[in-house]
Order: sequence, then structure tokens, then C-alpha cells
Amino acid sequence: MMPQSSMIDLLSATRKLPASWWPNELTPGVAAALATAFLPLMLNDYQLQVMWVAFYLAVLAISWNLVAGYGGMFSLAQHALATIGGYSSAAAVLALGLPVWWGVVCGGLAAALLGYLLGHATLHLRSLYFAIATWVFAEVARQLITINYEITRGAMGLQVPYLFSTLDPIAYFYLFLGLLLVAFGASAILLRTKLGYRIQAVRDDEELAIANGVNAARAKRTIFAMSAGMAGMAGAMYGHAVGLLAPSQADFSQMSLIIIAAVLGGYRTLWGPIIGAILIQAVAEMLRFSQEGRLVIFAALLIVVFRLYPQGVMGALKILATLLRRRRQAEGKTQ
Amino acid sequence: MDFELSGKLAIAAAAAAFLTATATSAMAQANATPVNIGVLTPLSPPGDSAAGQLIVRGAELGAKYVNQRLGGVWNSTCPAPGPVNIVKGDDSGLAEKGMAALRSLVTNDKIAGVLGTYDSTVALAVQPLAEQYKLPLLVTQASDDKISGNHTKFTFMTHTIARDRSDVVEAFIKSYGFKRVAILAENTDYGTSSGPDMQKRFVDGGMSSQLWIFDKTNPDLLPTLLQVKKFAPDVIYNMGVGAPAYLIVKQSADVGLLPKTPMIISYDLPIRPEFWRNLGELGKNMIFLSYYQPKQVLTDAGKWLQEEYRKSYNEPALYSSLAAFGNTIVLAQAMNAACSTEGEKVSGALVKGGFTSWNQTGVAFKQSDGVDWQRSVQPIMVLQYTKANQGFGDATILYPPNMKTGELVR
Amino acid sequence: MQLLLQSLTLALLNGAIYALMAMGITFIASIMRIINWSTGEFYMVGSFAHLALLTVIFPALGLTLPMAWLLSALLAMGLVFVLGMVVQRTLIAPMHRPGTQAFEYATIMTVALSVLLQNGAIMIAGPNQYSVPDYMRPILLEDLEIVLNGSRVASGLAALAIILLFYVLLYRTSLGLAFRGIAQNRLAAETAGLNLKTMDMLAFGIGTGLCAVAGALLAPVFLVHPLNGAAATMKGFEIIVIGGIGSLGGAVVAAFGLALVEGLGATFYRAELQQLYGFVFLIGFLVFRPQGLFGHRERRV
Repeated sequence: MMPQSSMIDLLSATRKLPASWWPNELTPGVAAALATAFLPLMLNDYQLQVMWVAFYLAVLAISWNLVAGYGGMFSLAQHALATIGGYSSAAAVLALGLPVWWGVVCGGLAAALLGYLLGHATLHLRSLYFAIATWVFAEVARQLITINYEITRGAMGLQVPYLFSTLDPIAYFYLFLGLLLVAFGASAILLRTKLGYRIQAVRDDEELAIANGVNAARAKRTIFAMSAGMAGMAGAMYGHAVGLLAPSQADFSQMSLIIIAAVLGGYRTLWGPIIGAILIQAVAEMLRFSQEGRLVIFAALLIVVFRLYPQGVMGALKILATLLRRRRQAEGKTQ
Repeated sequence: MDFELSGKLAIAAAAAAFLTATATSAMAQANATPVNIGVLTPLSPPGDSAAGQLIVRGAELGAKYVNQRLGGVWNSTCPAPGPVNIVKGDDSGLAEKGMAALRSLVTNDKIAGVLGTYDSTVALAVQPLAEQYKLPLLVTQASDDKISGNHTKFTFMTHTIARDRSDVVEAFIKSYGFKRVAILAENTDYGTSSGPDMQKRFVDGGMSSQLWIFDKTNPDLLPTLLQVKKFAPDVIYNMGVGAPAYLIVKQSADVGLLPKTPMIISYDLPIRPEFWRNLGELGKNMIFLSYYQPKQVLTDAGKWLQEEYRKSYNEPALYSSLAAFGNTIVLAQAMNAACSTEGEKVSGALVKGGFTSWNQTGVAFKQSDGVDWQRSVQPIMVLQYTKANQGFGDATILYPPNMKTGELVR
Repeated sequence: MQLLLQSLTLALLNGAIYALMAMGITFIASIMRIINWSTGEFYMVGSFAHLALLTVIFPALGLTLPMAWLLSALLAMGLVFVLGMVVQRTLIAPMHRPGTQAFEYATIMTVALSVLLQNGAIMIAGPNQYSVPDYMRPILLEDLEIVLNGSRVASGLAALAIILLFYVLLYRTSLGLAFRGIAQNRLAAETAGLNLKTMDMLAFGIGTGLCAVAGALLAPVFLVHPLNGAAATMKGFEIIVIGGIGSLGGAVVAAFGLALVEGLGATFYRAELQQLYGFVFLIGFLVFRPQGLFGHRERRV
């Protein structure tokens, strides 16, 4: 449990919001995105492809970090919500004949709606039961998509139209960079709203938060649905970027990747999921030379890093900062 | 405290240095190889890594054959002789991983052709990339007929599609007078493309047939098999691949379907040595589809492969390995014929020429209509074991009629 | 009628097997409050250890025993018990520190561990699937026209025996009392002088050992290959929710219930929905009885 004082800080913040809605993190965020926008000058097709998938993973990790890290809801359905977004968009485009961009919007809305309903049904459960309930949801989604192969084509894969007329990965690089910036900005801003402070108060001590007048259930449901919508929209764009949907996207291994990205980068930090996603994509691809041993080395590295830095890269950076500050102080004393 | 912190940072720095060093050394190695051929196949979950490993084995032996027997890719009339080298790309059975792996093979390894795709999803996702890169893509074991149906210039289908398999099984089942066929198909692209097609065929042909699709991760098939028992089939068609194929046999015996009801396994699983170790007496009288019969129809290349495979792995090569081996040597022959490793020319040669593969049928890719676009057709045989622990070479050939060596044992 | 009878018999046998599969994961969840995502991988390691012992090591030593399979399965359990304790001490315990999100971090560590073990097995074991010889000849119930697989019967019986032993450990020994105390309230147990570090390590070892013995016993039924643990993880999760955390009886009853629902559903309705019946059963529990069959709400200090 966190100390009483910070809880009161959080709750009083819900009454007195900061003067500016522009979060401090967003300035470096926009700067980093602008800098990244020049990267394609140096990267080849393959690297661009890996980068856009990393951005996609980062968006999912941000959306999961929002519910799990900031909201304290250890959901295991983020990958399934993204998959549902993908298939919903495909349904809108292929069955209703809507334009692809409208399909993406439909995908986001469908996932948000399902997320809201899922949250409604499961959010009263305690953490361990909640985790399993969301896992069941994901498993049911995967199996239903597979079984109904007459509609979804199951494991044969559903071909969907591409978003752009070119296959050049540079287009998708900018698309997902933009989406990532939006997801990052939206969560940074969200965390500074009343809802953002409330959800963190609920996470730290639900009973105390309720006693202080927070409608905990509503806050949780809203955040859960928002995060589901974010995942669904990303999943829809992903489908139209790969040109193909398959139930294997809802396999638990994909959820593991999301969790690993968020935690390796820094759980409950804004930058963590982005750093983590890019890092694991880069490392997994760098290990391609080791062929069969690729994932063994990858998992071993992960375990070592987790073991040394449970707080992830952001935690390691904090340690580094502390170390430098101390050294500077020590130098100051000797002078 | 400071010690601990700086120690941790030192370990991290060492790890980063190690990674960079190994990565650069790997890149340096890659530069030394003249003609790279990519194998894009699942080597990690959620993909079927067992199949992927068999495909890699076949392709690697294919490269060895090309280098030892064909003297590399170029023939004597071409200027620069050079060996071929297999580069693996793990697609994890995921479309997006397959795309990344293929782009990596193209940009980093400069491959001249790619083979090995196992999941239809991966094949369909990388098909447009092959067009973009003008890269010959030989589809080794993905079975969806959309792949050839898409009529793309650089895709060459070498795996059997649902229709061919249905043709053979239907003819076999009709010729032996079976009337009630139970089909058990796994929920992968293999099962969901072939299973329903086959059931429709049987029903249209006046037989009665029922299809059960099961989840590949579910090892408990007893309830499904009880339904099969209720249906009272006179033959069971087992469309599991790997573990489920064995589980269907074992659990059919548990519900009392075996040994009374004949069973057909949909590929050449029974030629593996562990077939008898895993199933013992249950494997007796097993009927199975195979793409060859070792005594009669192997080419020199095929015989060489079986010998080398046995030397390396101490067991006979399975269809996955044979197919990948065949793809590799066909690709090399096409490069020879074109006297080039350029994609345009190689695929031109692939369309034009007939090639030698591991079986005597040969390989040709005609630009025919519909799903027959650039698709080479494999003969399929139906074989049966007649006693326990029988060798593959002693199995009876039941189908096709012109190759028949014995009668069905019930 | 014959079909119903056969379906019920098979479901009962499956129930014993599911119970053993789930015992490990629920026990760890009840003591350490984490989900062990590598349950299926410890099951897989157990099955491979069993395969190696029974088909390579025993013959090499010239051992021919009447019940070699049981000895081999117990040895596999012992091996994984030690492996589990080492893993817990080196990888999971440090994540359990106060002030961190213990549940999340320890759970994530097991996720990474499962990736490692699964891919390691793929690399080492290669693409083949293996089995061990059947433990017993099939049993024929002639009047009912039912055949029972000897290995299923033998492993079901062994499973019940192991569960019974585990019951004795948990309810008739002081160690068991300590475990139950921790399951009910970690803080209070610590205040009462229990060394949680050691107990956690033991619990993880026992839990993974139980998964491993399930994998070993079921080797002739569900085969030995790198991905054979998926079902153990899945059944484990379902049974945790249905039976309630920290209740041995609950887990056993839930295992039989789950086997019945899946078996009957898939036999008499659509077979391809088999696993979904289990999920529906589970969702029913989440909605109407979120603390599980015999689970009780956690007491707070």
C-alpha cells in the first residue's frame, strides 16, 4: 500500500487540475517523433518493416500499460482486442463495402465496445481472477475465429485490402509513427485529467478512493474501454498493413510480447512501453543470425535483464541518473 | 550500494558489447557466400516448428546436393561457378514475422530465391513482397489454393492442394467400396482447406460422410471420437499433422474404433521410425497417403537424399524434407537454365522448363487457368502396412491401380 | 445409453488426470499469489525427463523393474522439484520484494521462463513426437462393451494416489499447516514466525514437481513433444477459477466437473466446441460464484 499522503495528493489533484493541459512529457515526445521521421533516410526496407511493427507493438504496449500499469487491471486480452479490431475492420470493408479508413474506425469502435462489455463483466473480480477471466476472453475469441472458418477463413488467413496503394514499408512507417505519437500524447494527456488521477487513486487503494467519492467502477470501465479502442484501432491498421488477418494474432505468445515490451521498458511509465517495444523488436531481429537459438537467447537475455532491473530500462536510467548525481555531489564536496 | 549499481551497469555494458560483436561477426560471415537461397519457415511458436525443422533439413541437403553433384548453381557454360547456401528465416507462423523475415533475407542476405513456406497465411502475406522484389517464391507446404489462384508472376506452387488430395482419396475410397467416411481434420489451414472439400466430394459422390474439426492444442479427442463412433464409419480419414495424428490413432483405440475400422493417415507419417515405437500394434494395417514408394520411383537425387538423410538423422526423410529438397534443386536448375540468379530470368526459366526433382514425375509450372497457375502436380499413392514393425519399403501399394502390389487387408 | 456410459467413464478418468495437471498451478497460486505461466513447460520437462529415464537411462543401467514407469515418473518429479526450487530462488523470489508489484513482476518472469523452456526444448528435442510403452494392457469391460486404455487407468490411479499423498502433506503435517496458514494470510503467517522465503521456495518446487509428474504419467496418453504442456496450462487456469484458490478439494471437484462438462458437451453436441464448454462453465462461476467452489474470500489484516 502506498503512503497516505500521496493518495491524498492524487485525490486533491482531481479537484484542482494543473494549469496547462499540455503534459511535460509531450514536448520531448513530439521532438523524438520529429527526429524519428528522418530515420527512413538511413534505413532499408527490412529495417523499416521491423520499425513499423515495433511501433505497432509499442501502441499495444501503451494501451496495456494504461490499464495494467496505471489502472492496476492486469488484463490479458489486449492482443485479442487488437485482433477483434482487425476482423471488425475487415467485416466493415469486405462485407459492407466501406472505405478502408472507415474500417479502421469501425475496428476501434468495435473493440472499445467489446472492451466496455468485458470490463463490465469482469472488473469486479480480484486481480488473479480478473487476469484469468480476460485470458479466457482472448482464448474464446481465438477459438471462435478459428472454428468459424467458413466466415473468417480461419487459419487459412483472411486477405484484406491494403491501406495504401504501395507496399513500400516507408508508408507504414509514417502511419504507425503517427499512431504511436497520438497514442503517447493521448495517454499523457489522459493521465492529467480528472479521470487519470482517479484511476491511479483507485489502483493504489480502491476502498480509500471510493471513500473519497471516486466512482471506482466507472473509472475502471472507462479506462478499459479506451484502452481497448486504442488496441482495436491499432489492430485494424495492422491488418490493412499486412494485408492478411489470422487467428494466430490472438495467440497468447502475442500477449507475452506486449507484457514484455511494457515491463522491459518500464512498467507504469509513459516512455517505457515505447522503449521496450523497439528494444525487443530490435534484439529479436538482431538475433536472427543465431537462427534456431534465436528465441532461446532472446528469452535468456530477457530473464537476465528482468532479474537485474525489475524496473526496466526506465528504472535503469533512473539508477544511472542517481549515480551521476551522487558522483557530481561527491566531486563538489572534495573541491 | 554504489558498487551494486555500477556492477549492474557493467554487466549491461558487457552484454551490449557481446551482442554487437556477435552480430558484426555474423554479418561478416554472410558476405562470403555467393548464391543465397532463403528458407522461410516456422521455427518457433506459435508456428509449427516441427514441420519447419524438417523443411530446413531438406533444403540444407538440397544445397549440399547442388554443390556436390551439380557443381554449384552455374553450369559449365556460365562464367562464374559458385556454391549455393541456405539462409534460414524464421516466420513463427505469423504473417507479419514472415514479411519481416523475407525482407531481411532479401536486404541482408541478398537471396536469389525463397522456398519453405508452411502456413498459408505466411505464403499469402509474402506473395506481394515476392512480386515487389521480383523474387521466385516456391511454396513448399502451404495448402490454400488461393495462393496459386492469385495468379502472381513470381509464385510457384509445389504443394498439393485440397482438390488433388480429394481426387485421390475419393477414387481410392470408391474403388474399395467404402460407404461411410469419417473425416477428422485439425483446425489449421491444412485441415480447414482440405477437410470440408473432401466431405463435400464424398457426399456429392453418394457416400455418407461427416467432418469433425478439432483444435490442434487440445490433446483430448475422446469426445470427438465418441461422436465418430456413433456415426459408425467404415473408414476414418485422419487429418492430424504431427502429435494429433498419433493422438487420433491412440484414442480411436481407446473408444474401440480401432482396430475394427480401417484408418487412413493423410500423409507419410507412418514411414518414421518412431511410428512403431509410439503406436506398436495399433499401427498394423494402417493405410496412409504417400508421395512416393522407395523401391520404384526415386530419381538419383531422391536416392542421394534418402541416403544422406539417413546418415545425418538416422531415419528416412519425410515429405516435408523431400519437398524442400526438391524445391532447392529445382531452383538451382532454373538458375542454371537461365544462366542467371536474376529473379525475372529465373522465374522465366521456371515457367519454361521441366526439372528433375526427387521423384520421377518431374516438375513443371504451366500458366494454366484457375488454381493450376504455375503449380506443379505431385502423384499421390495410397499405401498400407500389413504387419507390425513393417518397413516402409514392404508396405503394399493400394492405389493408383497401375502400381498396385497387393490387396487391402481389413 | 452405451455411449453415455462410455462418455462418463472416460470423463471420470480424465477428471483424475486434470486434477493432477491443475494441482501444481493452484497450489503455487494459493501460496505465492502469482500465476505460474510456465506450468505447461514444467509439465513438458517432466515428460521429457520421464522419457529419458524410461527409454534411455534405465535400459543403460540394466534396470528392469515391474513398475519402472512409476519410479521413473517419481524421479522426474524429484528432478523438477529441485529445478523449480532453483528457479524460484534465483529468478522469482527477488521479484517478490516489498514495494514492487510482486504479482505482476513474478508472473512476467514466469512468462519469460516459459518462452525460454519451450524454445530450448524445440532446439534440443527436434521435430519428432515420442511416447513411452503403455503402462498396462487395455482393460475390457465386456458387458458394457467398453475398452479402457491401460495407461489412462494406471496414470489416473497414480494421480489419485499422489493427490491423496498431497492431501496428507497439506492436512496432516505441520508443514501443511504452515502452508495453509500462508495461503490464508501471508502477513499473519509471517508475524507468527514462518519463514516465507523458504516456504515460497518449497511451494514452487512442490507445485512444479506436481506439474512434472503429471507430464511424466501422461506420456503414453498425450505424447512427449516440446508443445505438449499447453493443455496443462489451460486446464490449470480453468480449475483455479472453478475450484477457488487454495482449496485442494475444490480443485479436485472442479477437475472432475470440467472433464464432465467438456466430455458430455463434446460428445452429445458439437465436438469442435469442446474447449469452449469449459470456458462457459468457468464464466458461469466467475459471474455467480467468483470465489470458486470452496474458496473463501481472502481475509485482510
